[in-house]
Amino acid sequence: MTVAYVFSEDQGMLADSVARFLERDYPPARRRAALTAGFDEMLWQGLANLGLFGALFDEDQGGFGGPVETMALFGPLGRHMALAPVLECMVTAGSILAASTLGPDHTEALTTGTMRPALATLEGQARDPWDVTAVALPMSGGMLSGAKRWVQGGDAATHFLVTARDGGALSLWLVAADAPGVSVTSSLRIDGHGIAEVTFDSSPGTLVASGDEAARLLSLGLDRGAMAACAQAVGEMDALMEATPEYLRGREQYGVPLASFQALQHRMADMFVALECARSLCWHGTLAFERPEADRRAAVAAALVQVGRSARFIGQQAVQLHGGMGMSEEMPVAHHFLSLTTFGLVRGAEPLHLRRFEAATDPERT
Amino acid sequence: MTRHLDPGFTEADEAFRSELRAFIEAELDPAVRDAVGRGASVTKAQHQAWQRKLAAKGWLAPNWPKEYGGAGWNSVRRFIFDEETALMDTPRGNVPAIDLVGPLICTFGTEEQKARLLPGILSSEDWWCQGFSEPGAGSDLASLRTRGLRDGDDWIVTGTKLWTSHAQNANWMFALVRTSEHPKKQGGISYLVFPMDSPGVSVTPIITLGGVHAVNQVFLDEVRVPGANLIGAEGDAWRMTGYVLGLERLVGAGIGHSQRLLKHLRDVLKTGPLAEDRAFRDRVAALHTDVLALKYTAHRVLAAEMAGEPAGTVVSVLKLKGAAVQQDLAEAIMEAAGPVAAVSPRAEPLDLPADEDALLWTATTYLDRRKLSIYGGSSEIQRNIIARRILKI
Ligand SMILES: Cc1cc2nc3c(=O)[nH]c(=O)nc-3n(C[C@H](O)[C@H](O)[C@H](O)COP(=O)(O)OP(=O)(O)OC[C@H]3O[C@@H](n4cnc5c(N)ncnc54)[C@H](O)[C@@H]3O)c2cc1C
Repeated sequence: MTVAYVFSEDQGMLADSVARFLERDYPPARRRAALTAGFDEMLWQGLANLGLFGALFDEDQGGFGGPVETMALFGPLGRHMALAPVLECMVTAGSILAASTLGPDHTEALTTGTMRPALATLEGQARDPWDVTAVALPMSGGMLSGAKRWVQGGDAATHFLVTARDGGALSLWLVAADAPGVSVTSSLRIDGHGIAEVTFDSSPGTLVASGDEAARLLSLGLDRGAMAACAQAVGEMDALMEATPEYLRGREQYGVPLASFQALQHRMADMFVALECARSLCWHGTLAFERPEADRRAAVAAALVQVGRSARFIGQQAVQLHGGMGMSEEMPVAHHFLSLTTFGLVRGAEPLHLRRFEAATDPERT
Repeated sequence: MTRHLDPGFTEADEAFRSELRAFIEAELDPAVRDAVGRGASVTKAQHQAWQRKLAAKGWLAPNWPKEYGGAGWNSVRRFIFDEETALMDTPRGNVPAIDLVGPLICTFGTEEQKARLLPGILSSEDWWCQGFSEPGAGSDLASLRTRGLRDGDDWIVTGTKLWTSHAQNANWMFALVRTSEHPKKQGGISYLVFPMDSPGVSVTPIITLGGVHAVNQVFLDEVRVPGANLIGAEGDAWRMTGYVLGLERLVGAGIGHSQRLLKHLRDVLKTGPLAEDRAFRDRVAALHTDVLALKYTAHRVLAAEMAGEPAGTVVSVLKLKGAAVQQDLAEAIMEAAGPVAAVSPRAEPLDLPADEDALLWTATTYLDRRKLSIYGGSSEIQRNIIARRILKI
């Protein structure tokens, strides 16, 4: 086998340094305080100061990493539930910008964390985040007008990557958040991450790409973001897979530890199976960026289906096995359950991924 | 809307159903009905206002005998009441008072206790909380450690109650208290009731998933409870609890709530990317058959009760299946709602159109419904009961 499905020493060190930083500087109490406050500038700065954002970008794009390094970093970000828009701004939008012809102008600002772009595609009734060509803002002469919705990380964004259409082909534009006519209404998701609606009124933008190239970049960015989200969810599930047996070993009812009940042991065994299946397809999707686009799409869709299912099952069962404790905000398990619940809501529902999987899969190959 | 008669229900039952619907339509504040429908929170004052309307009609206490101010309904009427109030989004009111401590006092209380404690429930002045669970006594409730020591005619109660729903709004608690040593842990437990402003009672909030404050930790530090506040015989609470919970087994299945969630799911599915999705529509249809399975299981129990026969083992299906069906429905609703469900209803609002605004609480409802398989005898405990008592394994 040419692939080991384990992190290299360097990749492991990346993960360790994020984990150490979060363990030291981001205790649960601090996270809870930030949960309703919106963008945590200090956390962002702390993460940026580690100098690891470069690991999210490919070497030929001014970074020193790629998909696997991204996977390595997002495990601990999930385990510690860092409320920072690294996924949305650095991976989804960041990878689009970095891979575009504008890339070289922005990699420095991206890798140092001073630039935080957010992808703004959905509008009106459109709700499938993957169907990027369904809607687009009208534009003329480099000026955009209209409203974008469900902009993940939009509350903290310094820039927006906006889909628009000038009569014909889809195009992708970079608009500064402080450009004339841009107004941002921010809110929070149930997991504490930011979300925004953004309106543009004759706002000036810079062309990033158009036509097939725009479509290629969007698909790439969404897939990169999806795999980072999968890695993050696996990190969260790892945390639950450790916390649940530990809790049940410590809690006694009927004069014995709850962990001694076979019904609960079997449930945890099922959680373990779900977790490892999620991890396998997380690897498979992460390594698919080397492969032809159709293969990549199928692998990413498969990962979204499996991770979504595992996230739901493991989240629900971790709460169930903690009893009332699992519902208390004092317990990390409740917070992991919230973020694992958001996974499915933000990345799109399972039937949408199944359809994309089917469309991208060669039925003769398994 | 025309309704067809369900098998076994009489014209008179259906007339009652219509009367009830008309009453709710006319009397329930539309804003409150809307809030309940979307899963948003309802204030104590709003619960009280609705309880007072029901009380004026004589419908507040379905399970109490008429002589004590109850509705005096048979099982079918109670079932219809539960179904329609859920379907029409009425606030649930002070459930521990109406469904638990009320029937307890009606059945086991002295005449003095009935005269003293029941009117406050019916007038909605008194709000009760249920002090059963403790930090060390969850599923294994009989291991509870809150102690009552005799001091003359009084009891001095010390211990900690956990997960006490709405203790912050309550002015009375009914608590399970260990009042004597007994070889079996189910023995020696008594029902004591006391005002929440008694010296030594303190309430600490517990915030649950999604920022909800519904449960609390209640510390009892040498709380003096007069002997007149012991309900039933000393040491007999375990048996009494079994009796009272037995009254609730049909309501506990939440059949009306499942039907309501199913209706909500169909409404949500009218728009959005899943509206035309064949697989998702199949899932909705399957959930519908689940609701029917639950409903007709309840009808079998009802039929037995009306015939004066023991309902038998099928009752145990209701709580287990009822919890699972409500949870599955809440999950499907949230998924059908899409990205709006991920937005916190408690954060700064986005400028949402009305139909989407109504979906803001769908994740909160999903999260909250996880409790159904935890409290009132968890789903694992229900399975143990089925395996041991019914299958005799
Ligand atoms: C929202 C909410 C409101 C509540 N309101 C009230 C209230 O008003 N008053 C009140 O007194 N209590 C209340 N409760 C408490 C509720 O009754 C307890 O949560 C319940 O009894 C479970 O106990 P526990 O939470 O300690 O879980 P535990 O008993 O610790 O159980 C943890 C897990 O172990 C499983 N388990 C336990 N024993 C076994 C076994 N023998 N075999 C297999 N699995 C087992 C359980 O099913 C569960 O999954 C409330 C709880 C919640 C969540």
